[in-house]
Amino acid sequence: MATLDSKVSQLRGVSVIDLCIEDLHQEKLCYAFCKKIDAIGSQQVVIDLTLVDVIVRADLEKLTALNTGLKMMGRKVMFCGLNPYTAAVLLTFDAEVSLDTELDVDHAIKALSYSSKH
Amino acid sequence: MYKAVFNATYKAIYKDKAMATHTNGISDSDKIQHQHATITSQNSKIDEQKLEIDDLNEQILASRFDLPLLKIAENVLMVPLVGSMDSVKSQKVMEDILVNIKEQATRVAVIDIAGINIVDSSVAAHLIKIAKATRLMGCRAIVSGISPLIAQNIVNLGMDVSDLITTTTLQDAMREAYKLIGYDLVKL
Repeated sequence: MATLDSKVSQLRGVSVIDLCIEDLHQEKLCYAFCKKIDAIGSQQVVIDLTLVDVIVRADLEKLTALNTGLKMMGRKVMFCGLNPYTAAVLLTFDAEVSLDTELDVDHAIKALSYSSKH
Repeated sequence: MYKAVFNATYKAIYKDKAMATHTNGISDSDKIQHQHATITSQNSKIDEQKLEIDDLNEQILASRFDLPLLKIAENVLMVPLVGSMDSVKSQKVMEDILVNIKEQATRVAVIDIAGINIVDSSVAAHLIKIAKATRLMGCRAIVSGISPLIAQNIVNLGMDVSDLITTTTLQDAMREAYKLIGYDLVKL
């Protein structure tokens, strides 16, 4: 997680986390990003999974933990960039996938801003 | 007298025949039983092969099954489903819709099931799976063509369809789709 700073960018007042497969293998993924987002202070977070080609159950657990951690800190979280095959694979897991998802970063930011207004 | 002669002749013939069939140590009844068993096993093999051919035919049909994905408005996709629905076809429908969502940035997918013959628990489960997958891609799924009978069936099956937006007619589905992308249909 040495390149954590490069993983988080700011776009229209929203923190965008670009995750890749290697990041999902990090043990302290949730803690590291929660700490980083807390330091930045943004209220809305988009987690971009465009670079994640394959996903396993352990990865889903980490993403769920990150989602829960950020929400517990009062942040609004939106996932985006799931590819068709990853989406299909997620459905094969028994666990209920309860992530808020959008097509891409642009749509995710729009959805977050819409939900904050209404 | 005739009866006695007939019996004697019949016994003699029967004795000869019985001796002849025992020459190889196998009786006629054994032969028949053996042939019967052979035919039965061959029939079962033929049945198995028929099933395999049927499976292959289904797979070929599914691969040839050209799903019409109609772009009816900006970011709105319509998928009319007709005939029967099985797991192979359902998987193909889901894959096609998901790829289309990614490529065309589709926001709403309207799945019309008015043309599906029977909507049982399996079809309902497939539809829910498709809806969940599209939701993960950031797209909403609307299922149109829900008749009272289908609604009753789904309720009786006790299936959770909270992920699905359902409408009776395609017209209602269109109205919902436009609403989801931020438009409203107004009569001029």
